Amino acid sequence: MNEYVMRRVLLVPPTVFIISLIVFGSIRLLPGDALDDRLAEAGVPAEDRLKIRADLGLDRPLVEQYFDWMGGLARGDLGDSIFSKDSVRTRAWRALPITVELGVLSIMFAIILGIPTGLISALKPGSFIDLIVRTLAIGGLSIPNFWLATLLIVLPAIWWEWVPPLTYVSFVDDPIGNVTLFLLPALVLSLRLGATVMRMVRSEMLEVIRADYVRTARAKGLTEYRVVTRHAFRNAAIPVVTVIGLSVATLLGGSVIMESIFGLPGLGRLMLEAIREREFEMIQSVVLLVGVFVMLVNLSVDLVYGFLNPQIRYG
Amino acid sequence: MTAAASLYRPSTRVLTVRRGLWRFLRKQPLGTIGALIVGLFVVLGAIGPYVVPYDTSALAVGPRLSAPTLDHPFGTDAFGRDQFSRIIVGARLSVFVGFGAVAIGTGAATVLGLWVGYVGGKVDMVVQRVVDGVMAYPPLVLALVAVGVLGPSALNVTLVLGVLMIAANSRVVRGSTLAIKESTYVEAARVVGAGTPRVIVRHVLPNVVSPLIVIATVSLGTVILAEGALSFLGLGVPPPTPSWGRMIGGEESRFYFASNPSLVLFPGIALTLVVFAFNMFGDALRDVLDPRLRGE
Repeated sequence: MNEYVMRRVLLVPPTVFIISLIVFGSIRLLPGDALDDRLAEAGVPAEDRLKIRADLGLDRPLVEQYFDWMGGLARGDLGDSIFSKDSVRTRAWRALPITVELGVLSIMFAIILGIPTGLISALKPGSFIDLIVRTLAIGGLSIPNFWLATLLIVLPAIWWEWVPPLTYVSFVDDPIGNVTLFLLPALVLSLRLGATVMRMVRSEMLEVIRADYVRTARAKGLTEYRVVTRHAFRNAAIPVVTVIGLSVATLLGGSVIMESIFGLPGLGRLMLEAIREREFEMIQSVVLLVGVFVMLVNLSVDLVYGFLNPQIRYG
Repeated sequence: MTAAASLYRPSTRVLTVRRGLWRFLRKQPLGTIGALIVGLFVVLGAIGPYVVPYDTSALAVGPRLSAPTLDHPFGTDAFGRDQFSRIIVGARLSVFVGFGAVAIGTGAATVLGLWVGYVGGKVDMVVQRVVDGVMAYPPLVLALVAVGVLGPSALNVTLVLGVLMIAANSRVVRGSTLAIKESTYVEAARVVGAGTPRVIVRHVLPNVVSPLIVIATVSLGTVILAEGALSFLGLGVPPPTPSWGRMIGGEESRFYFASNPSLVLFPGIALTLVVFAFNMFGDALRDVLDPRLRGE
């Protein structure tokens, strides 16, 4: 176990280093100068543009800029926003809880939607209900979340003159109002993951239900309910944990869309704004944080997996 | 080989293909429906602009923001353009981006995965850390950043979505390669004196083709969805090229949804149908070609 944990943890620093190079490189090395374009659009004359670049340190060698950025990160300084007076850290810190709330609610919805349907489907494979559930799951994987979200805003407005709440209120000011705000976006965001969980539960259950220990449990005279919940599902659930953990990256991508449609000022919207405004210092810091966050989640999933499934501990 | 034997060979091959197709039709009804929709979609992408009733960039071919009528079955948009024609022609962009990105993504991933999987060692170690790094990202976020920096165009969107697929797909190819590398037939080929390139191309590659076809089919749906999301967020292909994603969320329709919901309804149905078809077809292909991948 220790060696396994050690090996996984030791791989973190080189991966973070590579992530930072990817982020830095993709913003600086790609052709075109986004900031210059943006300033030119705003009507800033050429000499002033050069001066702004010098103030921001953009005329220095790339290596120097990279280490400057890394040094700042090590001190907790994510850089300054060009077009806003708040620092990147302040804005990211304010946005983070909103994205986390959306993500956690989505995962909860996905579990509620995916696990029971997957179980029903697996207990009666080939049945009519199995066919329905499986088709719905492919539907969940296929339906564009931005389309569904738009429809959920447009159609109730036409039919019942009801519009979901679209102005953000903080949890501290109005807990109920705050949670209501997240329900629809979290539900839409959860469909894809819910469908994946359903398919995973189904295929794992079909595998496990044939195992010897399940036959033993039945032979002992246990009720079918007990066999399924205590013996089969417990083992089938292990890979489901992994799937949920690995889906964090996809959820974060989807939250960019949900936050922009439902007016939630989270990390996704911050990133989208930064990209539209071409605030690359903000883009690179926020994107790096997102990558490191996802990697740490994946690491903990691996460790939890090692804990849940002793077979791979020494793998 | 005798003349009789060489005459016999091609006909068996035709027979197995035909039998395989028949088996697919019978055992995978949903997959067959999916395949038919995919076929229709590709044909529309190819011939769309030549068969539509109205020119898609012509303004005011009908009244503005008309609800569906006989002349305009899906209604018209704020510029009086025919929505039905625009959706048909919109298939062209999805086909281009979808197939283009998947060709780049799976092609490069195959080469990379075969190479690092077979050679192993330090090269593999370094490449796997880069793959870890890329895979730590929501693909949509990287795509937004890259398209934001490169500038929105059909070619850039295709390139970016294609390059982003390389990491994850190369890992699948690498995984299969690692397993195949240890097999006795690879050992046998090496004993006979086959060099590394020959072993990779003649013995390893044919065995990773099945998982590759499955991944490529499902990726097509994912990429088409991603193009829709980028266009929806305003970072896809710029107007006037019709794009389903932008028809759902772009300025040309965003402000008119409440009065005219068919604007958002029909492009969304088209997009869902195509992605649904690719997913059903991909699922069926996986069941037939590579049952091992079933565990998602």
